[in-house]
Amino acid sequence: MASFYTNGLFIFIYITTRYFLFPHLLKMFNAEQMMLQYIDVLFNTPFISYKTLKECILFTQFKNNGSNLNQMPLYVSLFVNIPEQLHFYMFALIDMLTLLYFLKLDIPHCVSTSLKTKFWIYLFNPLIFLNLIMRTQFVFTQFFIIMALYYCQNYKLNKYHVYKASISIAIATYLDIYNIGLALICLNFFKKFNQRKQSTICFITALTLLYFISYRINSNFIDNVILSCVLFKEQYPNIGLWWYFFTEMFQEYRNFFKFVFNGYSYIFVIPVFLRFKHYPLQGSVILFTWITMFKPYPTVGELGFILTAFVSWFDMNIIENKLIMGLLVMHSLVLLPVFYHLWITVGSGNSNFFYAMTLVYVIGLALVLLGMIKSLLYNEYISINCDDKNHEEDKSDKKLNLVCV
Amino acid sequence: MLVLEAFIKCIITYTLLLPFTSADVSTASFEEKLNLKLLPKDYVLFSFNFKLKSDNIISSSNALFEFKRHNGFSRSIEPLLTKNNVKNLYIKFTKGHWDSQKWGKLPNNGWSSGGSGVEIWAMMEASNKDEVIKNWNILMSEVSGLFCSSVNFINSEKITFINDIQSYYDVDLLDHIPITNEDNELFFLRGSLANEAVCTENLSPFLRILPTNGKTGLSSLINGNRLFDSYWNSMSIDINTVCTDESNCYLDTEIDINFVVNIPQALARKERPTPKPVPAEELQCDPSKKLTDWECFPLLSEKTYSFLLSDIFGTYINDSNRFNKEQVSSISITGIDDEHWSTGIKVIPRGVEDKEEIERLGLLGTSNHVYELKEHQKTNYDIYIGTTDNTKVALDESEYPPIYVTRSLTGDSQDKGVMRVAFTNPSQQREITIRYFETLPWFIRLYVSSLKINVKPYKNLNIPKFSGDAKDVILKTDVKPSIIRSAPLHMQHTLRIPKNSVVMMTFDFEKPLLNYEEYPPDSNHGFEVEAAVVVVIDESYEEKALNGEFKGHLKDHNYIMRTSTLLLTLATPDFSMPYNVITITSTLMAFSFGLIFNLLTKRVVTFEDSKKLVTERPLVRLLKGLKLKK
Repeated sequence: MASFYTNGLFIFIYITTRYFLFPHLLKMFNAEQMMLQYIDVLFNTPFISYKTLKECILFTQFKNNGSNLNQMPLYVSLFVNIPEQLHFYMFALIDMLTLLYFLKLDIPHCVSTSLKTKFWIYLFNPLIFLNLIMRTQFVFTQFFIIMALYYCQNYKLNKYHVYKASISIAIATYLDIYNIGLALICLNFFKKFNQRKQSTICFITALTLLYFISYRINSNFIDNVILSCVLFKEQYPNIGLWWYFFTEMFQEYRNFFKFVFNGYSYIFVIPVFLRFKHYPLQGSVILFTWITMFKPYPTVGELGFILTAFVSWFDMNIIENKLIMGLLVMHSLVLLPVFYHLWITVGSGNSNFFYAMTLVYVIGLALVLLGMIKSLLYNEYISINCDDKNHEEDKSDKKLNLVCV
Repeated sequence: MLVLEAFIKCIITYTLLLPFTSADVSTASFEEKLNLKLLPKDYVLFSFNFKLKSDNIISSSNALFEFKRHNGFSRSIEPLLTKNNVKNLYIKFTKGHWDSQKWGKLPNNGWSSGGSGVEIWAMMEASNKDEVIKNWNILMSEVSGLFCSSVNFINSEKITFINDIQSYYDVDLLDHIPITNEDNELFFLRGSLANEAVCTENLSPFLRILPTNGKTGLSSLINGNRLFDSYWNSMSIDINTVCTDESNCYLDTEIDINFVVNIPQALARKERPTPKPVPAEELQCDPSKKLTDWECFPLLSEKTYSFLLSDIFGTYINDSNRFNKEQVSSISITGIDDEHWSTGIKVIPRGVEDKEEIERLGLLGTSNHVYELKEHQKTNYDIYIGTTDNTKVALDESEYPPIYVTRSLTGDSQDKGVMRVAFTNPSQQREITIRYFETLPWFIRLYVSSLKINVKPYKNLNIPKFSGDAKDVILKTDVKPSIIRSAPLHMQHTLRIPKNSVVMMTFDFEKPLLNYEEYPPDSNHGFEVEAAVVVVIDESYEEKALNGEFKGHLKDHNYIMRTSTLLLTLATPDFSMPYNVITITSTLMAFSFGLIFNLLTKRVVTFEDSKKLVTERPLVRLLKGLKLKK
């Protein structure tokens, strides 16, 4: 009984500090002006920023087309009906639901992360929290991805879960077209062909329906959101590799390289689908990380999701070079805003400094990705080759010395 | 053969007779005027005004050949308009800053000057917007050739379509515009090039349009040296198509050339073309400050002086207007009182060329300071202006501008900033309604939703302050967002400025990167952003005009002004290393692809098994086999 009350009190404190106290404090100290503008470049792109959302909400009155209205019509119409003071609480609600689904997700048996640890991992991830404070669209995308994973995993509990999963994936794809690969990976969850078929059909119908409704609301979204994102029309510096490449690329080759880069970010969809047939949960994170590295508008919010998933769904014991990995990511996260500030505001550095940091960031992500894959492959070996009886002994005796050939 | 001969004869008689038959219907005329307005602090505003009317531009359909008679009207204008279906065309070249705090209202209520740079307005007939833009582009390249200006850069990225025509154009004149095709609509467009350098090569086309060619009449005074060495100058040409009935249309053209000159400086320029110190004997010292044999604080300006126009322009007015016998050229001098100022005209008859002889010629003065150039023979004229107290120039209450507008960019970084516009209504009696017309290039990502508005009192007076919601100041908003690389952001706010108050609007904006070839050669200089247009509306007049009860001219009721242009700096990439960026990025991508591809395609085995596996690889076996053979 006592623990029930402590838990209740604990959750109460969590909710008040995360969703009320901290945001209020930040507002009081004028955080937007003082701090958040420096890390703006890390978290916001025109396609997910709250500023664009507000602009889109305003332009629902005018019915004029403009290329800077880069938000999906349904996402905008959700917020049109909510008074502006309550917008943050909408994001807070979604964040809370994300946490709920994240906790409910079954972790693979090889990873021994307790519920409490998962809770802390999510709670104390500053990237996820800042993402929430910045009110970016990724709060929603992340929620739909995690919800989709949860329903995929528990599709056996209820026959509607297959549909729920496909619809969530469809919404995540709707919000960010680069998530489309996840739909394929999630098919690995379903063991029977019939369910796969159901899921595929449901996904395609949901996505078509979403696009159709959006088209009826505002037909310009194809140009302003999808094509603008895929073809990198809004040239703002971000932490990805595209912005500098296409600023400097020669005119004649620009379209060709846009095609190549897009193909590049989807290149591992089928290999991951085939290779990690039995690990769809981890497989989807691996694919998500790869796409984040090479999509036109990545943000650090995505890194927050990746790191949370990495720590809680992968066996950290197998992964080597954790220190280097962590230092690289930290190093880039600290220096990215600093060098951006030096280039843009102070003028004492130039764009190459910031560009160099984006390279370091991508290398850091690549190492994380490498760790993920390695951990998954070794796990696979252990679960196939070591029987349950031997397994216990093996673990206690010595560490398996595994290599890839 | 006979028939042919008769035909040719017919044609010849027709050709010969034609000029005589149509001579009496000529509507062509030419008027010229010069107004000198003395402004406080020794400034003077020269306003040249030329009015031209063309002949009937609709050729009668029964004519065998099309004979176009121009009667002094420039031949280049008419094809420019008719070919592209342009009905009205207003071109304005402006340079410098009009100090409305000191000098009061803009000349002609602001209608004859534009924002700094080139500004073009056009009323065009077309079936749809695409056709308009197509015609506009052709028009611009022709105008750019005609006026030697780079207006061909005003493409669809810069033009705006104007909605509330009644604020910028006399609505009743719309009825007089001929429309060739009933299905077509009229579009009113505006485009401008900010801070385009205006110079002599733009002036000479203006003078060439005049029938006097800048050689005789008042236009003989205008020369590039004088015009562009002024504090503020503007040249504008307004071409309107006006039809009295279906077969009678003419082009009504008005050319205004205005500039502000500081008299002592202009006179000093004549005396000492190269800057040299004033000789000691001419130096006037300020007695209120320290004055010894060695120290002298010069008086800022002399209290008494007199000058002739020829001192300022370097030439006399050569002859009068010979094209219009009824409307003689006239020169008027305003803004002065009779007590302290005197004016006069000097008529220099033909043949008198000796300087001393000219100096000895007498002056003729009139009480109303209006002079007409009447002599119908080759005669030179000169105007004299003298004063006993140059401080006795004061602006009328009605000459103070109804509004002051300042616009600026703030923010310290190159990726975002704030645009701030402040409208001041200095009047203590009445509130004013204005239209704030803004066009911003697409590379300013302005967030209209971030608009913050507040109202502050202008001066601390005893009249009640504005109380109420600042948002109520905005009566109407019209926004057309920008489209990347194809359309500018256009917004128009109708505001009501309360009396004695300052309304401040701020907008947040972000600035993107451009592709490397889109940056100008001096990319760190920044981009010029064109001036915003502000019209002070006479509401009762506008209502009447919309209802068709037309009274008076729009230009007498609405006051139009432009803000200053802005300089926008964008973040620049390092232009020197495209190859580095391309190769390093590609290397990194290939590197991460390789790492992951490597892992995905390989088997996981224990270290002990791996040795065996490695030795069984086909390549290793092949090598082994080769070794054994040796």
